[in-house]
Amino acid sequence: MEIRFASIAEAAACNRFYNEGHRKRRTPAQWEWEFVSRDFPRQSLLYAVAEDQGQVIGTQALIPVRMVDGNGVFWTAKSEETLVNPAYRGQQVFERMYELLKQYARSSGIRFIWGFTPATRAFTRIGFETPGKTSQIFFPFTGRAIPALLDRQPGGDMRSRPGQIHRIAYRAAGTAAGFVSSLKFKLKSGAVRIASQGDSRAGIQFRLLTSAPAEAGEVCRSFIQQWGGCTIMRDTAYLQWRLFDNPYVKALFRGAYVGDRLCGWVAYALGDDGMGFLVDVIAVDGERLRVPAREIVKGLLSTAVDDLRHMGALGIRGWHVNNHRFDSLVLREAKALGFWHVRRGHDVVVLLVPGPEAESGLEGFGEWYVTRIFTEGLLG
Amino acid sequence: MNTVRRTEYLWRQILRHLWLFFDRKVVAGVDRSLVILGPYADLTSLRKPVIAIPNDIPYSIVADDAYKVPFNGTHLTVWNRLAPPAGDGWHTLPSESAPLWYVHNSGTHLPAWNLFGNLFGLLTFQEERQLTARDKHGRFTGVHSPRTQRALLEIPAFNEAVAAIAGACMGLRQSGRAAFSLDGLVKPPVIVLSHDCDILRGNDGWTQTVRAARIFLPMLNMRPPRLSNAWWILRNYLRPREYYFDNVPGMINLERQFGFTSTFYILNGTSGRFGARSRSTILPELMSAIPPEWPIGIHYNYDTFLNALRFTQQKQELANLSGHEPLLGRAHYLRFDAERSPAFLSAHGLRCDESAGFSDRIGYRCGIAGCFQPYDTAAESAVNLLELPLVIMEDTLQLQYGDKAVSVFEKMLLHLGQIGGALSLNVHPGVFHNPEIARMLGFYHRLLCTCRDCGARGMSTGALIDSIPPDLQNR
Repeated sequence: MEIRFASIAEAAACNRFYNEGHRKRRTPAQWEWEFVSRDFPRQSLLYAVAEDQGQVIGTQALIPVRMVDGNGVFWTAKSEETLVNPAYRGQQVFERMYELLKQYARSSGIRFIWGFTPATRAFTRIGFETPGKTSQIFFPFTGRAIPALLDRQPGGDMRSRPGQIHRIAYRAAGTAAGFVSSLKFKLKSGAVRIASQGDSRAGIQFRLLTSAPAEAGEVCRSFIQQWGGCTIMRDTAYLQWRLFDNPYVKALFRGAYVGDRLCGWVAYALGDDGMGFLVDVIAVDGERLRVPAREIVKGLLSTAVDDLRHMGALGIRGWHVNNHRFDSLVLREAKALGFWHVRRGHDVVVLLVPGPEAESGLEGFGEWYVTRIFTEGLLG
Repeated sequence: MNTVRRTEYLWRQILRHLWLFFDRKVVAGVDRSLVILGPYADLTSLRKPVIAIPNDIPYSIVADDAYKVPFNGTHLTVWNRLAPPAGDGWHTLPSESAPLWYVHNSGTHLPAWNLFGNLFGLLTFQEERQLTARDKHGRFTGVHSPRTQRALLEIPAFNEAVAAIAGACMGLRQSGRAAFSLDGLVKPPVIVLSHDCDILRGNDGWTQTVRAARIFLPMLNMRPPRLSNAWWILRNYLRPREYYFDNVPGMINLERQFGFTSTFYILNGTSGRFGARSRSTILPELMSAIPPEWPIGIHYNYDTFLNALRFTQQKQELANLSGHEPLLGRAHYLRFDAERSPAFLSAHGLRCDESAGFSDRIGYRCGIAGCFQPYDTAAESAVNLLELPLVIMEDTLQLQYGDKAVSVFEKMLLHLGQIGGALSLNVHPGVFHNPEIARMLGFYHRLLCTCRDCGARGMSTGALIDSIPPDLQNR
């Protein structure tokens, strides 16, 4: 068995292994979008493969992602594409692939590797920590939203009698929750109901953008200055790649402008399962017109709710992950607008990569601001 | 009958189609030095490596001898089979039981079916010229087509024939015999999205009356009244735009998510049951909701059908409202007269029409997934108009296939991915996301996901026809 880095020429074989393993239909172009780094200064493909007799039997990839904290910008990597042929389990394939990646990460200045997974054991065995868990903010539009949230779609056990009872219960709960949410939304969003292009009473304009704004990086740095902690560096190139050039779903992106200054944005998309997803929310105070970030967040969430409702979403899901000051603010404003907080999600796994830069500037996980923009991007 | 003109006409449609849906290598590889169209007797005596397509075999609309031929990872379906040419030295490709070509030892390839007759017959609406049956709106519907009984309505016969010609030409150039694979030479399929904006408010008298009637109609069959209709009446009385006009930004945003654009066909003019259900005063707001770079076309009102005065009035009103003359259009209720409509629309300044679809079935009314110029058989010339036949109306697809609708749609797209073509899909704002039509909830989204998964390119009608080079535009 050979463990090595894959080359771009092997995209088709790696992708086939993934599609067979997960019964998906990912295209080579989608594979390339995800894994071929656009701006990582060294190797462009951090994709380990395990091969046996000419066949791919395991894959593990890292997606280099820049993060920013109070000390500046640094490299991290997202763990992705964990897959081992079941016939080779127990042969340390996953561990050996990760050893290769860790060595490379150590020598190339990547400070830590992170990811989200329901299967933490394999990761903790090789040194990852599980410092937190994602939870959901949830706005149901219809009775079908709760089964969709719980991944319980009609079919299978839902057709049996107990399944039907569950279905009716879920739908009734969804309808009731949706009614309460709509009522709260109507009452609370009224003050910031803002036409997407027009001036608002609060002095904010929400513009739908079709390409990444040039000021994105500046906003992201201001965000860290105001709110502290650490988050993905959402500069123009990153947003263009992650959202606007996303071959799965191009999330809608509304920028919040106070005067001519970009003070935040919300990105949201309708996932393949019919659920709306809040992919990203960011805001800083609009100082010149004294518009607090709280107002901007409220307006951004309101426009996302309005748009996703008209797109036919069953409901909206977003992440709340920890007590970062801005994450707490988003949760507060979301709840005021009718969102529910549902403690259901995946574990976060983080591995500190030992190296010369590992110690400096790394905040505890509680200071990370995490949104769905940290995900792979299949749902926006 | 002017065979020379008809031949030139058909060849031009083939070239345009190749340009739109095939790699440049194919465009360069298919030319008249390799493809010869002429009388059957002359072509069967040719003895050189060419594709020889007879253009004088009478066409039959009956289509009762269809068979399938494997080609490029899919199947081509052909009908009106020809007998093998007389004489020695002929064999069949790819098989005797299901031949696509009769091939002479010298290299001459003759299609095994009436290729020219079928394509010309379909593009010139021979079925509806020969059959007089029409529905109460004067339309030739899918049920009237002989292809319906043979399950051929969903066969893009033109696209398949052009793919066969492309494969044959490329094969002849490379190995001296027709190829049955077009690996990497077919562009991804195109999805042409459009929306007929006929009901923009759900509280007009006709819509509300229909709902009221639906409350009590079940009682005629001793069933309980459908009280849910009372809720829809009340809801749209209080909020007339909900699930109608308000759906327009939702559709636009949904399409943006996939990088697609669409055309909005706007109905204005005379109001009434078959006319515009909403007043024109709402239209400026509608137009401002449509992104400026997305095309807006005219949805010809019911009463403008072949009526020059009314058509001109409607078009002028829309031009005044939108600030520019509409060049794209589709008929409300798909009213379309194969003999008179193309010339009528061309005379009124339309550049592209999307009316030639069936109201009761999905399928290829003219056997083509793409655009073509209609042909005036009296004047023996092409009409100065591009026809992009409507293939799928959302509600028809769902009603026809129910739970299998999305997989049928996927099969059609995947097939076009192997042979090249454009599928046009119409979705109404009031149907897109409306709990009153619960079976349609999420349906358009699933179709768009399927388009993405099939690698389809999303193009508006305007973008598709603008991509045609000047020498292949209308005459």
